Amino acid sequence: MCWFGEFMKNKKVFSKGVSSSIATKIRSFWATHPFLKRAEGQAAVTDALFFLTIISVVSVLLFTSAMSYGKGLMESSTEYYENTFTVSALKTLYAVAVPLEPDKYDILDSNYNDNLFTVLKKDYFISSVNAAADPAQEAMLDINTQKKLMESLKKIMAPLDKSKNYLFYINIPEDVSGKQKMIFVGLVTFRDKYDSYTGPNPKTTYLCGPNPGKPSTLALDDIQLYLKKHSLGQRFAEGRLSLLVKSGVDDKLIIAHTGLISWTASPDFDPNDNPYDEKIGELLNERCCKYVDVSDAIDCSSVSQPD
Amino acid sequence: MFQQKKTKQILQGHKKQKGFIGRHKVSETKLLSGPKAFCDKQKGFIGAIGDDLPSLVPIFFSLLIFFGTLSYVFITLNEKNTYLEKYFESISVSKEALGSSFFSGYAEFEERVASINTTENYIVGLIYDPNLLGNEGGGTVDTLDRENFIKSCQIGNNEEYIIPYLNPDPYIGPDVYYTGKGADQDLCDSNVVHFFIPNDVQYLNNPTDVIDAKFIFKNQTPFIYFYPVALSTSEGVITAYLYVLVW
Repeated sequence: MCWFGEFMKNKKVFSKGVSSSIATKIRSFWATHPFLKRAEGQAAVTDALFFLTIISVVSVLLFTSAMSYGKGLMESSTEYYENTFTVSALKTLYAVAVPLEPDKYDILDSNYNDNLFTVLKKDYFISSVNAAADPAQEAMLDINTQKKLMESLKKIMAPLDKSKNYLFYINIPEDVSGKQKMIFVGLVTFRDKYDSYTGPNPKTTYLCGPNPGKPSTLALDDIQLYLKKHSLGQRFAEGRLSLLVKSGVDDKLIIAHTGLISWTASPDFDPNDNPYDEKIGELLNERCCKYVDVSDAIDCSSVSQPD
Repeated sequence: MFQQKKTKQILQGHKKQKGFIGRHKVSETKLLSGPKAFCDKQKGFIGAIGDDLPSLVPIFFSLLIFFGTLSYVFITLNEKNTYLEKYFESISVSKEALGSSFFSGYAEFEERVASINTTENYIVGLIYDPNLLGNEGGGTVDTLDRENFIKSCQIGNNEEYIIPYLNPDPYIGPDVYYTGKGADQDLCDSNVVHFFIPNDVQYLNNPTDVIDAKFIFKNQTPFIYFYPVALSTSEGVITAYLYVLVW
């Protein structure tokens, strides 16, 4: 029972050891020292207390391991579900129909419907034809097409309405002039603190057009890195889109990338105060983003700051 | 000589101790060694067991703590494993129901849900606006007839209507699913307690009699999944929501 105490004392070792004079000295010290004399009788209890300590530590470790068991799996599965949701949302966006009439957004109200991206391609092609004829113009999506796209996206993302912000973009890595071009950026986010909007739904939709005097690109990598850095549960789905554009006298097929990024919504959205939204604030400033409602009309050519 | 004298003195000293009930078997060496000599001189010494008795208490508690923790850990791990298995199965069910995120119509939805292979109970709902569906579209007049709707899902002041898949055991079992409407609402995503399902086939004749979903779910919390999907209708492809409950 006293194995630990005996070992510590090295009683037997010293008594049978070579250095018997040292052993004798230790024994006499042990027997005469008042403190050690008192402690001697408690060697077995000390061993047991050591045992109790070790068992307690092992028990705590076992308990914490059991408590944390499966947490990583659950988080991964949740992440997988949210990723699947985002991918499914993007797939749905590729498939849904929109009215062909410019000022209508519900296919029930319209007599002529077509696939959203078909409408978008047609719209962009017409714009590229005009741009080819007039070098002062730039090919871009019609504002009504942009709004139809955003309305469709908002409807698709309705189940996540109160929990997620999201951004959708269409990016041309290399257009006919060989430059990168962002032809669509739409952002849906909380903005109840940022402005005086006090409607039933604090979500605010922004459409971002090219800002005169500023590059029509979007620092997507920066935004993604930023969201990741602040653990905002970023989910990302990317697709491709072929666009027919007018290049000189010929038609050319170019590839555009579509991307849907969603992240945890911050109810205190304020690019001036909240550092989490700093990048989003930069985006709004850089891209001539303007709050829009379905019935609103916006003209980004005359707007340089968000309202 | 000196040693023998000392031993004798010590033994006499022990005999004089009050309350001493142990037996002496003290060798000369042990008597000379400090610790043992000290132990033997203590009052109230009750032998070898008595000497170790205080150390048995923490050891007893140690073993109690260890085996208690061990049994708790085993029970917890077992429960968590069961939960995780069900969770992964529920994800698998939802993924099978989702497919390519596109439904060409009600028939494809019905076919895909019926082909789900699982041992768990589940309900798969496709929530959309039935007004968009015509005879040539995703639904039929029969499946979307208001008179056959069952009040199923109540969200605040809004009521959802569902159509159960009519099989011999349409409410409890792996083949149950429903369709509904209300694409613009919150879709029961946050308040499962407001989700109502009829308990038996007789309910079909009495649409006002609803019971709490807990009865159906057997007091288990179902895993809920939402996915946006595209549904082809006579009016065009619309946004619908695939609603999967697994328990």
